[in-house]
Order: sequence, then structure tokens, then C-alpha cells
Amino acid sequence: MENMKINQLPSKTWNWLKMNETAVSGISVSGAHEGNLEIPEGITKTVCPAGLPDRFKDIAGGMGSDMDMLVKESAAGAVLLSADSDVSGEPARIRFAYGASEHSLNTFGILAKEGSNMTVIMDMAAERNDAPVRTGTTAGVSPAAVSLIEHAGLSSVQTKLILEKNAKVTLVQIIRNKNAKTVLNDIGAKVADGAKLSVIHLFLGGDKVYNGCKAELIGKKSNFTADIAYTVADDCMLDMNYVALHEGKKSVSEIRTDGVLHENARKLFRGTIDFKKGAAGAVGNEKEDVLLLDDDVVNQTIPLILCAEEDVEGNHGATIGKLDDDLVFYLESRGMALAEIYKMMAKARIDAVLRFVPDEKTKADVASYLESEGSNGCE
Amino acid sequence: MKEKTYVEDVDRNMYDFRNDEKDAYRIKSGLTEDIVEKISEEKHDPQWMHDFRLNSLKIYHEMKVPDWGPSIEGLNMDNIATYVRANTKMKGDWSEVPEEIKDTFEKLGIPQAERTSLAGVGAQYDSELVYHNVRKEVEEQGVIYTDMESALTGEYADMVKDHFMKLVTPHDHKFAALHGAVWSGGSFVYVPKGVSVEIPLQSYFRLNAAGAGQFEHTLIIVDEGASLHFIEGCSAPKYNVANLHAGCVELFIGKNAKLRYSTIENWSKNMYNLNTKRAKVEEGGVIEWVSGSFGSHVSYLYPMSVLNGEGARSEFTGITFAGKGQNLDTGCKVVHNAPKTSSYVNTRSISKDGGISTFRSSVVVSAKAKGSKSAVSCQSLMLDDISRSDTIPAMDIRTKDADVGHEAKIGRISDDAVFYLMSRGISEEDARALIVSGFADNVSKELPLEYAVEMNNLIHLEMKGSIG
Amino acid sequence: MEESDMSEPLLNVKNLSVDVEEKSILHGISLTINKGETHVLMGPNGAGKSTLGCTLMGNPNYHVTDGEIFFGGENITKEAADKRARLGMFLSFQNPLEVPGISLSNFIRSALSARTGKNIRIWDFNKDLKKAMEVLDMDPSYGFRDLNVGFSGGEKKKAEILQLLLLNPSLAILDETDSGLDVDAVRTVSKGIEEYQKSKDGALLIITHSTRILESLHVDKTHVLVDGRLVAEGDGSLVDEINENGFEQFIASANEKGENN
Repeated sequence: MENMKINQLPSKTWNWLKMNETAVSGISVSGAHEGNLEIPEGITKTVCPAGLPDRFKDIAGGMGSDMDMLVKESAAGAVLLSADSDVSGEPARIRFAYGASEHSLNTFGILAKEGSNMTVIMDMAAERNDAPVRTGTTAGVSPAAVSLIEHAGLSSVQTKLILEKNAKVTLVQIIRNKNAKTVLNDIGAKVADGAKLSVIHLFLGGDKVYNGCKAELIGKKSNFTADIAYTVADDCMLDMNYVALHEGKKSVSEIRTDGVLHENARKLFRGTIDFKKGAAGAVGNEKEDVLLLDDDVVNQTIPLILCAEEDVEGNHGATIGKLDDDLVFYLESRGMALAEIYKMMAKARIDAVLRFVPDEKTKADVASYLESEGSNGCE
Repeated sequence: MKEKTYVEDVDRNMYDFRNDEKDAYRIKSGLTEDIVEKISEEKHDPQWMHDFRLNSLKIYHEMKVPDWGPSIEGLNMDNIATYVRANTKMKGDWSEVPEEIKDTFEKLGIPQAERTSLAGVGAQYDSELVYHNVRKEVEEQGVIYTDMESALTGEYADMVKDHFMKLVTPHDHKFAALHGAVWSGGSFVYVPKGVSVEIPLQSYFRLNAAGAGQFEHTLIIVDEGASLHFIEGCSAPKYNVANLHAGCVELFIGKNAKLRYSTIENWSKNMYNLNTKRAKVEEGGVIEWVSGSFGSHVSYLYPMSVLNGEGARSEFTGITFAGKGQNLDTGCKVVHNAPKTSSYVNTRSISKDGGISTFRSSVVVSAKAKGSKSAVSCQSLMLDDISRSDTIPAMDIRTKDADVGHEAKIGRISDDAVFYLMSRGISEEDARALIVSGFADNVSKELPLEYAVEMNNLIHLEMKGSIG
Repeated sequence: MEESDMSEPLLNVKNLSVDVEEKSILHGISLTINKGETHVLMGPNGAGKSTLGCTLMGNPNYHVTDGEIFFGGENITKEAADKRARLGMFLSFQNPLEVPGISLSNFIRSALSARTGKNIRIWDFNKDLKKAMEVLDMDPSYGFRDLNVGFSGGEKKKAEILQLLLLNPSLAILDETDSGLDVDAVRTVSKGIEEYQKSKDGALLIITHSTRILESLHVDKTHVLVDGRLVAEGDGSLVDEINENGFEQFIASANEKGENN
């Protein structure tokens, strides 16, 4: 697809900020990636060559309609995972090991029927961690700033979810295909009465990573939480759009993000809490923490609260920049040097969210990946 | 100090469109070069200003209306010329002024003489006398306080030329360009090095006949080490048949200088208030914005601070009250362009009776702004479920050595707080008004007492829904 | 102060039942308080004592499902809180709210002016305020601080009693006024209450589950509330009995009553 416009802000602002939406061009998909699916008992896997069933059609993803268009055009088929009951303990594991110049798009549907409980873990990694290295330096750019990885390929995933009454879904996505040139990750969900969607996101690699996530809280006491951690490496870019749409009474949303930006990294976080009229008693919270490690970073943040209902509570807070002086002093007084402190705190941010991943195997894999990559993820 | 005088009608028709030969102007819609030429001629503009106006007009025609923010559909763009014309001869009739406006004057206790002026009918009130007295006092300190037109040709002509629309250029947006073409009226203030002006200067003094301040230009230069408090506007509604206000305020704060710019804007509820205010702050300088937005049908208002010198600081305290039929899009912008600069923003907004209030901001910390700090806090209060309140803050940080914090809260008046006040005998209506006034105290405590009192009265009236 | 017929009780509660958040808390409460009398309402935690206080004052979250409340001869069961306040009722809250933007003194002055319907002369008011603050050992600077904002527990309670002294009601309901206070604060607050009793000849309904605050006050009647029902009534000596033996005997009899219903 030529000119895709994705991750639109639900309410536009000054154009000169260049945060209203993002343009992506030259996206071409050659097929779906043959991932490794481990499906436990209690979860039914259905392959849908013609795409997801009609029920999923009108669910809007955080990336916007151009992404839906891409999915339609690629005609790559979809995989539907559904649960009837409480499948606690055993998560569905989907592992992607992307080749160096793959251009793939995978579509998933997750249907959690009334009262069910399921966990789905998607681990999107590179096939080989030793990627081809670029020789020579790019003219005009100092050697220190040249990324050693030759980024190529496209890895993209779209996941649409339906949570019926009182259902519970935990969706973990670990996006660490550090060789990819472009990563597109889209989520759209409809959450019914008393249902709860927990999204855990770890962004750990990739040249240009785009993520959109939208949860429509249609039911009374519906619930959406997103715990997000990211580390963006030298010259890489992360562009996010999270939207919690409150329609149901007493609906609750929490979006928490914790990240680290290294040399020359660029990141744009859009987070929206949207209270529609009628969502009486709704509560929405958004919290962002970003640690800026080097001077050439570009950090953009735009947390929105849109409100058309009186009886709500909306809060958001963001802290951006360096570590708190008191904290630094405390750690220094215990003998740590400044550089060590920053390295430790950067790692701590990722670990804090990694802890939420309800699967030991996945946690171990990611931990050793982080270890081998150093805190940079792109060395 | 506060004597105000009533002056007989001085026919100050600046541009007379009544001649038959000029019938052509009436037929043409849209703003044409001829109209701008005429304005320039009548004002005896120096050549550079004449050229500037025409250039602005060109830019105006090239630019588009914003594609974000409240709709300005109700603004008759094709008949902009009428705004300009109407601007010149404020000879409406008191009987035509809407009842609600008159009512509000009554409730706010505005003296008769001022009412006609504020209502823009015949503009028969002129504060020349008071204005002259103030001028004399500050003149002794070397302060220049004059109207913009005179400033163009007086002793400070060169200074004005060097600064006029250099901070807010006609390229900024369509209405800045319009302003550049048809601006008229406003104040020029220059405070020399090291001078501290004790009494606040008020633009209110300059509310003069021709043009009820629709396209006024305010230019203030505070030189090194000097300080000034300037107050613009007042709580009484300013009514205007031609319903566009496209003003411009440019503030230049020198090294270690300080300027406090306070405004209570209460344009009448038919107005489109597209105002542009900007301050440039040099090393060690401070700009304090205190802003209360109450009136107008639609507002676009984002005072902007550009922190250009090391250690420069900006503080913004604001309150916006959007009632029935109002769509107020307000906020602020800060650009950190030098090391160790700091910005503080504290705004509150209230939405009631279907009003829409949007807080829109941007904090930009460039790579040159090491050691900078920014803290933004905005709170929104919804008073019912037919109104809207949106918060759209943006941050763009390009250095690691920055400390940027932001928090926003939205909610409603707590039932417990209302009950507590009622249990002390205060009626429910008064209890809510008290709580909302208390909510607005971030601004009222920064204003001189008489303005704070006026602002509180205004809030009480707004709460009772009986304001025009 | 209200002129009421001496034979007519100031407060007359008839068979009151109250629901809070769809739960039934009070059942068939009846009690009367005459002008100038001091009543004590005691009971174990969770008995519903605060509920009674809030219901009497007219908190909209407390729903009267049965019975009536008469104040000064008037049926106030359906009246809003401010009306009740203007009729002469006062409630000292257990957890006073913070109200930023309104100073303590301005608040009291607004309440006074709402009561009398007249503008309050600042000079006189400030004199009265100063005197009352002295009785309560309060630093005059508190008058300028925002209502309860950043006040400690004890300071908040003192601020409530300060309001009591200046607003001059005919019936003051004190809800757990001594909870969370240290020894000195209790003494000071008691002083304030005594001042109200003596100089204003006010009636008091003191809601408490401990008796520290009552030590220097003369008590006319004591009521015991258990599980939303009034299970005992007596004079001041009942307070001493509870001090010695606790609420157990009353809880037992309440259970009996419950079973019999």
C-alpha cells in the first residue's frame, strides 16, 4: 500500500507539531508468517482463509482504517482463537521467528465467550540474532552513530478481540524483531459487561515500530488495562497510539507506560481517554514515564482526555527526562556510579513490566535476549 | 484614580464609505486591496506600514482556515470587509443592544457612562482624562504609554518598526495575516532600563471611540531590568455587532526584566475571538500570564512564550469558563530555546450548560535547552452531562537534560462538598457557585483585588445562567 | 434563636428508618430533644450513629424509608440541608472536607449571611471570630487558610467547633468530635462545647463511642444504639455504666429484640 495514514489522534491539534497522525509508505505484504502456535486445551483454534467472521468486522483498531485496508488487500487469511471457559494456567503461545527480508502480515481474532478466561502470548522475534552487518560508514555520519544492523523486511500483526460478558483476556505481545525495517502492530477490542482486557506490551527492537491499540469499553464495569514498556535504540523509532473509549457505565481504564530512549531514538506516544456521554461513573487513568538517556533523542508525548460526561474521573500524568535527583543521590551513596545507575534503572523499567507476563518460559527467553543485547537492544 | 469621564460624541469617522462614488466597495465582498489602501491612507501610515498591510493581505488570501479546533462557520468570511467598515463608525443604537448585555451591566454594577462604551454604541465614553493622568505619572519615569498609531510616527517610530509583527508574523495563521492588513488601535508601551512601574497600566483606559478594539495591536517592550504589570480587558461583556475580534499582542521582555500580563476576556456571546498573544523572553527575564476567559461564542486563544535567553521563565495561570452556546479553545504554548529555562502552567476550566471547553497546549524543549524544567497542570470541572471538556496537551522534548512533568485531572463537583456547605445554611446554588469560585482561585488570587472581585461576580452570574 | 413552645420538643424523631446505598441501616428510631438539653448517643462501631447524624442533617445519600423528623415543630423529613441549617440545626462532621479556594473566615461569613439573609459587617464579625478562636486556642492565621486544606485532624475538628460557636444553632449534632484527638485537643474542644452550652443555651446531640469528651459536660439523657436500633435510654449515669461494662449487655438484648421482631 502506498500512502498509509495511521495512528490518528482522536482529536486533531496544531499541524506544526506533526503528531496528528503518521504517514507510512511503500508497504507490501507477501503473505502470512508461518508461526509456531502452541494452543492449550480449552482454546479452540480455527483457521479462516477468508478472514475473520463478520462479528469482528466493525471493530476499529488503534491504527485506523488504512490498516484494515492493508489486511483486506493482503488477503492473508486469519487465525481465530476462542475460549469457552476458564483456561487459566496455560497460555496460548504464538512464536514468530522472522527471516531477514520477510514481508509478512498475520491476522488474529480472539473471542472470549461469556465467563471465560484466557491468556495469549505473542513473541515476535528475529530468526537469527546475528543480523547482517553494514560495512563502511554512511557518508556524513560519524561512525558512532551508524547502526550496525541492516534493517529489512516487514513484520505486521493485527489482532481483533471480542470479550463477552465477564470474560477475561490477557494479551501479551513482545515485539523484538530487531532486524525488521518496519513493524506494524494493531489491536482493536470490544469489551462487554464486567469483562476485562489486559494488554502487556514490550517493545524491544525494530527500526520503525508502529503500534495502535484501541479498546471500546461498551459494557457496564468493563475494564481495560495496558502495561507498556519500551526501549528504543539508536536511530530507531517507536510510534504509538492507545485509545480507551468509555461508553459503558462505571467502565475503567488504566494505561501505564514506562520507557527508555537511547541515542538518536525517536518516540511518539499518543494516549487517549475518551469519555462518551452516558459513561457515568467511569474512571480513566494514564501514566507515562520516560527516561531520556542521550542528548539526541526526540520524545513526543500527547496524552488526551476527551470528556462528554459529568460523572467521571479522569487523570493523567507524565514525567519525562532524567532520573529524580534524590534517587540518584541515594544510589550514589550506596557506591554506584552515575552511568551504572542509569543502566540499572533503564533495565528496571523493562523488568517491571516483564514481571507481569504470566509465563515463565517467555519471561526467561526475553530476559536472556535482553542480557545478550545489552540494555540497548540494537548493538 | 478611577475617575472615568463621559465625553460628548466626537465624530471620528475614519473612513467614510457613504460617498456614492464608493458604492463599488459595498458591492464587492471579501477584503480587497482598495479597502486596505484606504485604511492606510486614512491612518497616514508611513510607507513601510502601507506596504506591510498590502503584503499581509496577500498572505491572508493564500492561507487556509485551520482544520482543527472549533468551527468558525458562523463567521462570514466573505464579508470580512464589513467588519472593517463597521469597525470605523460605532454608531449603533442603545435600543438595539441585546437585553442580556444590558442586564449584565446592571448586575455587575457598571456605571451608566461606561455601558454605552462597552456596548460599542456610539462609543461615547472616553477615558482620555484618566489615561492622561496615568501617562503623566509614568512619563516621569521615562515610560512611554501611547496609542499604536501615534507610536508609528513619534519618537519611537524606529523601535516600533523593528518590533511590529516580528514576533507574531502574518505567516503565522490566517487571522494574523488579516490583522496585519487591517489592524487599528491598541497600545504601545516602552519601559526603559531598570525602571519599575508600580501601578498597573490598563488597556481599559484606551477604550476609545473608533473600533471597539476588534483589531487592536498591543506592543510592549520592557527593557533590561525593568518591570511592568499590564492589565487588558475587564469583566464587563464587550458587545460588538460585527462579531470578529482578531487582535494581536506582542511582548518583548529584556534581560532580567519582568512583565505580568493580566487579562479578563469577556467578549459578548456572539463574538469570534481569534486572538494571538506572544512573548519573547531574554536571559533571566520573566513573563507571567494571568488569563480569565469567559465570553465569546468561539475562542482561539493560546498565549505563547518563547524563552530565548538562559534562565528565562514563563508562568501561565488561566481559567476558562464555557457556558451555553460557547466553544472556548484555549491554552498556552511554550518554547524552551535556551539552557536552564523554566515554564509553569496552571490552568482550570469549567464547562456548563452545553458549553465546550478545550485545553490545548504545547511544550517544546529544543536541544539547546539543557537543564530546563517544565510543569503543566490542568484541571477540568464538568458541571453537567451535556457539556464537554477536552484536554489536548503535547510535549516535544529533544534533550535528555530536561525535567518535564505534566498532569491533568477531570471531574465534577463533589456531592460531599456541596452537602458540607449546605449543612451550613448555604443554598445549593450558592454552594456550587462558591465551589466554582474557589476552583478559579488560581487566577483570582493573581489579580488586583478589584479585578478578582469582578471576576468572582462574573462567575456567580455565569453559575446562575443569567448572563448575556 | 428560634422561639419555640416550651412544651414542644426542639427535635422530635418518630420511628425513623434509613437506607444507605440500598442497605438498611436504621430501624424505627424514636427520640426527642428539648431546648437546651444535652443528649449523648453511644453504641459500638457500625451501629449507625453517624448515619443518624447525617440523616438528621439531610444528606441526600441517606434515604428515609419510614418515619418523620420534626424540628422546632416543623416537619423537615423532606427538606434540603440548607433549609435545616437555616432553621437552626448544625452538624459537626466526623471527617470534614477540604474546600480549596474558600478561606475559613470567608466561609463562615458566607454561612452567616445565608442564615440571616443580611450582609455581615466585617468589623463585628472579625471581633467575634477572634474571640471564638481564642476560646479554642486557634492561631488567628487559620482564618485566612483555605477551608480545612492541609489541616491536621485536630485542627479540622477545632474548625468545626469554631463554626459552631459563630453560627449559633439551636441544636448542635457532634459526630465523633473527639475521635483522633490528643488529650489537649479534647480538652480544648470540650471547652468550646461548654461555651456553646452555657452562653448560647444550645441543645446538643453528642454522637460518640468513647466518653472522653463528656467528662466535663452535664448530660441530660443517654441513648444506646446497636445494629441500627435504640436499645436503651437513661440519664447521665448510663454513660458511667457503659464505661465500666461496655456495650455487651446491650448487644445481647438487641439480638433478642431482633429475634422477636
